[in-house]
Amino acid sequence: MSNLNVVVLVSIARHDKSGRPMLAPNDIQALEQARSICTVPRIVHVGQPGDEMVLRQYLGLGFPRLEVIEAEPGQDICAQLSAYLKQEPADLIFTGRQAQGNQDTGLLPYILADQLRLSLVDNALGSELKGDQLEITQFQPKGRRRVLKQTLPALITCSDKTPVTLEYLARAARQGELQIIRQQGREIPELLAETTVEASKPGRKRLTIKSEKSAFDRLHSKVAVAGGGGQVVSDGSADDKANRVLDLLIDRGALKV
Amino acid sequence: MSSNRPIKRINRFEQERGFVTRQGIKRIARARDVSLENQEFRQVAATKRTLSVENPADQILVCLQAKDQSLTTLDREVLYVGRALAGIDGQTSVIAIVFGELDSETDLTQMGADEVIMITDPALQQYVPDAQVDLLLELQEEFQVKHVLFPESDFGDSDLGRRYAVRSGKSIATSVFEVSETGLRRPCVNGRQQASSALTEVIMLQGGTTGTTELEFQTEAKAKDAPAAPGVGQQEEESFSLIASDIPLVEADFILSAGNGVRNMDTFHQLAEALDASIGGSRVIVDDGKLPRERQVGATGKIVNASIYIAIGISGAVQHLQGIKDCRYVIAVNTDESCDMIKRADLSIIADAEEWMQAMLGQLNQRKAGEQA
Repeated sequence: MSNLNVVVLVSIARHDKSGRPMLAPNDIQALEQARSICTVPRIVHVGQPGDEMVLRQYLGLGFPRLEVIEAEPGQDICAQLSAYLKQEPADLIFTGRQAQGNQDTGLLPYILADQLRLSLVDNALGSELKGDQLEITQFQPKGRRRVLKQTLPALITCSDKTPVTLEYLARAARQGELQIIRQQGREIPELLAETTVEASKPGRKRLTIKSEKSAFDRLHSKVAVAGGGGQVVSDGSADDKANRVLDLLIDRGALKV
Repeated sequence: MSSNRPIKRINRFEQERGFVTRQGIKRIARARDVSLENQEFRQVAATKRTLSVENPADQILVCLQAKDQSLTTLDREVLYVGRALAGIDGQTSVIAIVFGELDSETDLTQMGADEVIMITDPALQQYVPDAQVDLLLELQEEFQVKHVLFPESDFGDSDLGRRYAVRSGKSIATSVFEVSETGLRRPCVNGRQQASSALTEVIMLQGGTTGTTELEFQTEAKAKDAPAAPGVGQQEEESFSLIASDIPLVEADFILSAGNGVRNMDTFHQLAEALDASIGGSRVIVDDGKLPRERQVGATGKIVNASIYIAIGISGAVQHLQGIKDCRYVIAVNTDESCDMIKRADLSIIADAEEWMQAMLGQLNQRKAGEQA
């Protein structure tokens, strides 16, 4: 294990059905990835006072201390974090990709990386220290993965597909220390557009370009397009039919022979 | 006396007013008499008017990543939304910026782009999002940018859009699920609440913001030169694929799927292994216990998104066809030429499943042997 200064940023999520505060699953995955680099990472949370019970659950995953920066509602979390991390710089910062209980924009890592002048790698599945560089496995869709080399310092957002092995211990949750940090707050800047928030309701209006055609024309063109059907191969031996498909697979790059 | 009254006209449709579709279904044309018109259906679909935009006042940029040289349904939706927001009055033009190359089947004239900037520099196909943002920042100088649209996807779009918004200092709305000319809505507090706001400069769209991607007109999609890429060196990175059996079905790119027509599952598994394809199945096969539940494709199982989907012995129930609606190329193997799967498939093989699978294995072995010799 290295003696790097590793910081994990954690947030409090809201349960989607009950609305209760809970651990953010994506932040647990960030803790998991930090644990593979360093045994005792610093954990930092910015939020209003009063969520001690939830924050202690993070400690219950086997961490001795959590730093809580107190912020009033309406204050800018990014500014608080970057001010704090400028004072006490970190070599490596892990976070989840997107909060699940606040604005949920997924912008915080990007703003923070911009303010701290760090390079950012998104959607990491795991990382390993190789010399003074970090080897990051990045998630890509369709079963693909990318392995990157990244110099430190860096900010890494963790994929929600990271496997988690951390276990909860009630004793660790009780014994851990919540360290309260008070610093000057800042108002939220105007990067986010002015919004009105209301309770979620099902359904949405889909955007469509108003049709210039008559109903008949629309039906007519639907019928015309629906004609379709591809090529049908019914003649030939079984081997011919197999070769037909094999050639096509090789053509499309699905098969390498 | 009664002869002065006008004769009441009874609307009846004559047989000739109907027309017969290619599938042989009779339809009545209520709007106008089409019996004398040319019934070349393919031609009707092809004759779209072309929308041309001259001297637009401002632009909407749509930034997309080519995925295996094509665009996903979400990318098409984003282009459609761009077109809808731009309107068709010629005031605003839609400019598609595509990172990567597209194959010849992807036709941007049918998707509503007025101009297309293809960025095909191989250096930018690596993980260099900051260089991509540099390029976008350089590009936006040329235009009066009204909005910049991105899809929300793991292919790198979500990452790029957020970086661009933060670097350029533009207002942004992420994970947008509803958008119109007047405003947009996005979820917050873990989906328990919705935030509505006016349209922002950068808009990142989830799937389903529009119900259709078909346009009634086509656009010019003029190719525009990409600016010179900033000097990006060879990055230290490599890509690899998981083995097919480890890939979750929803993520898989090449799926071999079994239906009731497959009698011998051993051959099927052998073939899947030989082709290095992920395994899927219809409801019947899963109900029979021949495949685990997580391998079921269809409305009640997984909605898959493969580039190539081979359906062996699957007749194509509606629920199954729903599950494969996003697949790019479907190959059907079936004994029944009239089944629905064959209507959906791009290539259909009329053969017995077992016979065809054995032939595939035989031919594959032959080719591999030929390669080694």
